[in-house]
Amino acid sequence: MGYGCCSFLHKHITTSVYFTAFWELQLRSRSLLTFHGSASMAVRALTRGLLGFRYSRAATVASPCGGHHYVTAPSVKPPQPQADDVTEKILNQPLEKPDFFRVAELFSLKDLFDARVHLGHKKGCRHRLMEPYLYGCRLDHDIIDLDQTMEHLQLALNFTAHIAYRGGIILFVSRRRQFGHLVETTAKDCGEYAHTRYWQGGLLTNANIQYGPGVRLPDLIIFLSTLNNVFQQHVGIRDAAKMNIPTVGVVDSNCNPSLVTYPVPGNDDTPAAVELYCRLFKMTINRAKDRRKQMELLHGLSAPTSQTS
Amino acid sequence: MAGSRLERFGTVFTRVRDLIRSGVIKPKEKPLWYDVYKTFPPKRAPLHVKPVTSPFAKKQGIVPEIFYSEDKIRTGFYEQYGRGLRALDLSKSNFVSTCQRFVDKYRELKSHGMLDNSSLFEETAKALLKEGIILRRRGAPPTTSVRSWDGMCACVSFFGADGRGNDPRGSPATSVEHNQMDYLRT
Repeated sequence: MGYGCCSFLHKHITTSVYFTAFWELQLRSRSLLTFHGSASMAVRALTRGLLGFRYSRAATVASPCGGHHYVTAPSVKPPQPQADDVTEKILNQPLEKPDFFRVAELFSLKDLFDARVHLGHKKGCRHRLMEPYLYGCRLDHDIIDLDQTMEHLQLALNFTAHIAYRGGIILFVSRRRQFGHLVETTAKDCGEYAHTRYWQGGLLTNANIQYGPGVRLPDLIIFLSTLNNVFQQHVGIRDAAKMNIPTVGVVDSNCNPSLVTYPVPGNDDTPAAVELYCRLFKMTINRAKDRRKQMELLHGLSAPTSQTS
Repeated sequence: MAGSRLERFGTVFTRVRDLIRSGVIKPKEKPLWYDVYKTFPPKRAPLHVKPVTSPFAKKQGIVPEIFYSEDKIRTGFYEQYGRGLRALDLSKSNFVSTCQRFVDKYRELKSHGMLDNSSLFEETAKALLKEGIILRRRGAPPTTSVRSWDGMCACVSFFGADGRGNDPRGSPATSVEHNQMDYLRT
């Protein structure tokens, strides 16, 4: 099976989808192939991944890849009802407060305005489903309602933070070549994944065949731009809805927001705006992960060797 | 893992909820995001909306046009003085353009209430000259300045199509839409 996978891997190198594979024997002893996009040193990483794929089979403890490692799933621990209860408590405590991670203080309306988030496209490009999110039209130039954007962004960041807190896999997607590198570095900085290249048709829907059986799919997909290079809706939105994966997406005035779970109406073309979004997502994810580590230390779950404070 | 790939029926949440309710997905296997979505649902359920095929269905909420009362003054300014000598620097958020200074001065003089509308224009220009801003006239002086909202855009586009015959810099004529934006941008 290993060699069969390798031939698939070669095929995917040429179509420029990059990933590394590693075994994790402590869970239910099934292989997990996860996404990992990196802008440079792809071939070296891939060969290292391939070698690691073959030699780390004997390893009993999986090393974290890109700073991301799985912490949830109560079935990991040997049967200890106390540990289970504590994990349950850790998972449910943030749900009691409306803004447990205080994401609302990360941005203000002035920040959005200065980053030119309110600038939409021209009237002719307007999508009819975006009309409720528009403030008005100034000489045929659509202006997005920033009050609504504030609320939507707060909901989206809050959701992202909770997913990151629970150890979910987050995939950043953007088909804008101008921001490809930025999105990839953002993903790398928060220890999550990015896919800014050509989206193969069966990436989510045919993952078990394309990447091997038992692939873990992302738990959240964040679209920094919901359009692809030919101004049609990105296939990933429909695919995520098919695979029951929630999505967070920045929808501009020419995008279709109907299938996006947590749309954020805003400008997706200006570098200042996209940099703002990337910064906000990075900060929320890092905040959520740090909070998780804190909570585990507080409840005494973590092993003493992994203390980072 | 069981799933339901019908993205056009219901939302992601409703499908998973029904699968859990019917027992296809065990409570232990429930997805990570399920509880979070339940506690913090989005403002609008992400239902698929069918694309409208017939060209007759046009009755939707209209997006309002944004106009300000100062736009009247701005049209007058751009009719008379063209694009202005100083370029607009949009990278600074506190930048005040020549047109904006004209508008502010106009409103100041109007609030004094001593002059009437026809001479206010000249008085504002003179006041700005005193402050050191030179305004160079372009084309013929306005005979009938249009003061209605509908006429305003038509008036502006008329001048845009003319090009700038008196512009000493001789910049090439750009598209009509670009001129429209230029003329009324503050």
